[in-house]
Amino acid sequence: MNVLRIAFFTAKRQLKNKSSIISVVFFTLLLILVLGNSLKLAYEPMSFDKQSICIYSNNQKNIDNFQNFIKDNGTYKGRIKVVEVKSREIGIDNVKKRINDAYMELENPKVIPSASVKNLYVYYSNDFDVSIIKNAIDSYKYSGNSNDKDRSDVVQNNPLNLQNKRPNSTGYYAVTMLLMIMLYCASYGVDIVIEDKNRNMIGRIKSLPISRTKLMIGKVIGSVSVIFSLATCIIIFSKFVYKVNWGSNIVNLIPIILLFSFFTVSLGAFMGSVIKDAVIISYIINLIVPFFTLISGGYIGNMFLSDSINNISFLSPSYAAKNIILKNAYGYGMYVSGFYIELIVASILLFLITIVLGRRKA
Amino acid sequence: MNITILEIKNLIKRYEEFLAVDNVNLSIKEGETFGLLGSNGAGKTTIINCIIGLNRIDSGNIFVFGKDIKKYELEIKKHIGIVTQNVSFYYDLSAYDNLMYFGGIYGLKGKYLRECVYDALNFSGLYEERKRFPNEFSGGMLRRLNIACGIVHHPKLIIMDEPTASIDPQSRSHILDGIEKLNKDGATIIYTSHYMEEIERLCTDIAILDHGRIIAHGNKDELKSMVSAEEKVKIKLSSINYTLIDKIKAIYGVQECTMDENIAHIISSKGSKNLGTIIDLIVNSGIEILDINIEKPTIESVFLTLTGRTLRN
Repeated sequence: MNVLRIAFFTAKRQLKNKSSIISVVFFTLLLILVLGNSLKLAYEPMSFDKQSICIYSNNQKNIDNFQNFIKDNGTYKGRIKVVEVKSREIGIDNVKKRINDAYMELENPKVIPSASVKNLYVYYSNDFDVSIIKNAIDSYKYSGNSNDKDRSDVVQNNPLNLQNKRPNSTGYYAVTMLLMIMLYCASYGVDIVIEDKNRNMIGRIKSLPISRTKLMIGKVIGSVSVIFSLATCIIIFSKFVYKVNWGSNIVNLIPIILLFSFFTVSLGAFMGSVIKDAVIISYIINLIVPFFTLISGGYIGNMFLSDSINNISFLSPSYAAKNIILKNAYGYGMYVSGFYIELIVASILLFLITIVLGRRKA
Repeated sequence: MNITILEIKNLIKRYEEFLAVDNVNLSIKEGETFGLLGSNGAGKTTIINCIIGLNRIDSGNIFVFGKDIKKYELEIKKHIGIVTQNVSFYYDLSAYDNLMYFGGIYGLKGKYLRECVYDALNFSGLYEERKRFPNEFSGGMLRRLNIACGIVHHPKLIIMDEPTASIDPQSRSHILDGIEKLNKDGATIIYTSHYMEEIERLCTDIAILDHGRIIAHGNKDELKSMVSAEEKVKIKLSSINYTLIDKIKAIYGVQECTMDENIAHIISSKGSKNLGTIIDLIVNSGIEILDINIEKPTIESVFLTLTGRTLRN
């Protein structure tokens, strides 16, 4: 019961600083608006975008034919990238992960492998309609490369349920800027540790009939509630005013927003436990938050980042949270369970270290 | 009245090489207002910090309500109230919320919690200001809120570490009256202060600490008797006559006679009963006596006598 009381008053105290709270929400919404509009072109699918299709066939000749077809056609050359994959599963997975825009399978009759293409399967995302690939496949189909007896039935279109389009710039920056601002809220975690180390407060705190662990748990719950509430405000506002797609069911975001709030507070509390000086911690936060945001593709999308940066993206907690949220909203992304595990482990580890350090110093 | 509330046995506390508390033994009975006197760095706050668990004890034991503080720390703390040297509460909570917060942590709930909070607000004279935040308070109000936070749960033992430092006379008077009331209501109080007149007014039992050791312990009369082996008289004269000083020094029992401007400071052995002789001598010398002041020992003079007048770091 005491833990909940501590949580309640911690949240009340943090919400008392109205200017800070308002600026967090307002600044995030402003960033989403500014970045979303100014970088619109970089995120909207355009007709001149280079798109990619992965292809699999039980006959290498079919693949070569398709590649030659694209290469020889002035309309598609340089605008469609053809990638060969080893199996249907890999191809479909690539489309689901948005590594490729479509997957095409050219099947020969097994009994006569050298015959012309019998069936052509295409797997694509919902936004495939806008794709130049669609035109290329249609052209290829009618150019006589597949079974030409009944062309209309040959192509088996398999739409993959990817729910919606890719995020536009506003949708993308709504996610990344939300996560960036939540990371800055690590200062709440710092405060809950530093304030009780204060020379004036320590006597009062030590004289209370409550363990340091319970006190810390209460304060963490309070801070997490505040950050979660702020994030919820930003999500709801951006959903209804900016029309940001947060997924068909916004409730699905609760676990990741709660988890990331917990991570943020734990990170701050950890820094507060290890480093005594609040000013130094503030400098560190101001360094690591932009760094985490940058490598997670928060400022500019990962597709625009170099491979060397993309290779270390996984180090950023924002990258994990971003992928989980995008998965929820747009139905694509990598293995989110791995990202959940990464965030849960990191949060619990930071929290436990904070508790242990607090008890040692007690 | 005879129940021992706090017992300290052979307490030793070091800060690296510095011996802050050196084998202190104390026993405080229920209902006492116990004064802990000492210069800065004498060990008062260290002893208090050991009682509330802020400092680890190197050696010795502390028993509160008959229970070892090491074993029953959280249970004991429920019945201890601390009024810290520096004001300690949250500036981003109103006075009322601060008391609700700390009262709640002490295990108070619901209606009883609210009653206790209102009691503490009334006690500290802050009821009308309960919705205000501490950064709007004067120094005296902050001190009073600090006390309210320490007593909101009606503790049996209240430890007050210089609760009246740097405040106006009105607030001090209010606080001292309040402490007397708390004691009258049954609380046992440990009180430290640099204001000797406060100790003299409030405390029934006093311990004087120096360099981490208790150098004197007893009630006020016992302490005063320790240093009253001499009698001091100050006589203000109309003029100065240095041959008179030598004559006074020659009187039986006079140990010392010095002049400070036109005031003669005379120290005699206790019971020498020579004041009449001294007055006769002065009058016969043709010097007018303007004022006579017989100094009685105070707690301050006891303290200074026992700890010395040399400046401390």
